[in-house]
Amino acid sequence: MTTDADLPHFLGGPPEHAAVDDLGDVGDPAPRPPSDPRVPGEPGLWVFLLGDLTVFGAFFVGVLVSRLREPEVVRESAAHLRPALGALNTVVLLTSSLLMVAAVGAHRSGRSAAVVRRLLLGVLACTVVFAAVKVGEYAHLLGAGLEPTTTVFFTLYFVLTGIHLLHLVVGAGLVLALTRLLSRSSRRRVALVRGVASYWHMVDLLRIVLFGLLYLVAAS
Amino acid sequence: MTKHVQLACAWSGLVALVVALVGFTVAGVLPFPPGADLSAEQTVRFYADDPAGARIGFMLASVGVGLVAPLIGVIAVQMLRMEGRTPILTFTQMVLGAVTVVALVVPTIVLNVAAFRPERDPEITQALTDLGFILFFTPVMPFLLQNVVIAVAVLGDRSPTPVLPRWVGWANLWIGFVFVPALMAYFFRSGPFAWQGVFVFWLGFVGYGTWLVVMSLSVRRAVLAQYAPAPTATASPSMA
Repeated sequence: MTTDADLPHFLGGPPEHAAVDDLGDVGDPAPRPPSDPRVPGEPGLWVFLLGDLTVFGAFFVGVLVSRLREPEVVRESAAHLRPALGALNTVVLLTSSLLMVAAVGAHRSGRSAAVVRRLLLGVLACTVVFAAVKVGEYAHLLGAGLEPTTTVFFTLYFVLTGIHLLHLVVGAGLVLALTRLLSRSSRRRVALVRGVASYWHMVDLLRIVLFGLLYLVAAS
Repeated sequence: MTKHVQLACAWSGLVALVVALVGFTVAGVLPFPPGADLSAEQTVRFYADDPAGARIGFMLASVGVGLVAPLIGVIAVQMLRMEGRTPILTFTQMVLGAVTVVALVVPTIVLNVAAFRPERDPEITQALTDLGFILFFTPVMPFLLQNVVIAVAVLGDRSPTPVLPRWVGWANLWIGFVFVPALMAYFFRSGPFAWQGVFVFWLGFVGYGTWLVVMSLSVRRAVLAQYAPAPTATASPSMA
């Protein structure tokens, strides 16, 4: 049964097909007929996005359950947050989403890579502002002796916003990679751009719910 | 012959899941494990109430999780078909997969050690229980990286008839994310982020169980497609 054709190329067999040339190919599916325009990116991406949203959905239920169980503790804890800072950061992320929409539009309508790149750098600038405000909030709370273990609310606040921030850092890495890829090659990479944009909007959506739950609902 | 060995390795993932789940149920860890917030005396009672159950259960679990190894092997063989020329992701997956098997087997042994002498100083049993459960849930990185490496290989497969469908790549990225909150088990003894909490225990169990099912079944289909009679485009597994 064993012939040379069964061996991987590095052991003497023929390559099955063209090897992956670089990470940049990830996200561009094999050529398909123009698909349903209602699904941005590629359908498989939504396995990840909806899965992620489901986990965060469970986190949100956790916040509501803690509020039902210990309403006084949660209300007092939440009163230490500054809704103005939370609102500022929400607006910053919404702005980044707007820039992302503009970047996708510019890319789709065939504008020059430099224009798309500038819009994506705007997205990154928003991310830096968001992270700076967030770290400032963390420092303020920790300075006041309010730690993740202080109450169940602070556990949820630090862990959920922390995991959200991790998503944002991953997203910023993707956007950064995109700016480099788009200026380096002339390929369209429509699916890749849309995929990154879909991920970005999901992170933004999560932020809106987190702001509502942690800063507004919990304190009410 | 090769085909049947590959298929057996793919099935091994599902067998691992079933045996491990039975083991953890017999041991009393499923559906609800002893918590990090129990006193030393309460922890001892977890083992002393049903010593035979704890020992047989953790023994079964340690046997079950070892059966993950053949699945790692057949995933690697199928990844070779995706990567071709330079199988760096394949080798990385094998290294990480080997580490995950150790990270799954060792904690079940530690928990067996905890059950070994119920008459010893309760604080020692408590320390061993801490070690067992924290070792079981918190080595996130090998699992997460394994998922990412598989995802990159699947999504980077440029063939018109990909070895694994693309959604398997995306599902791997999602499952990798699901493991992240388990890191919080270092910090909490109670609440949703302690090792017995919903975001560590349940998310971890459901995430890894889902991964075993997805990989076993999708790799099985890839093997069947690999040896299907017509080697043309019609022999590809579903692109869904």
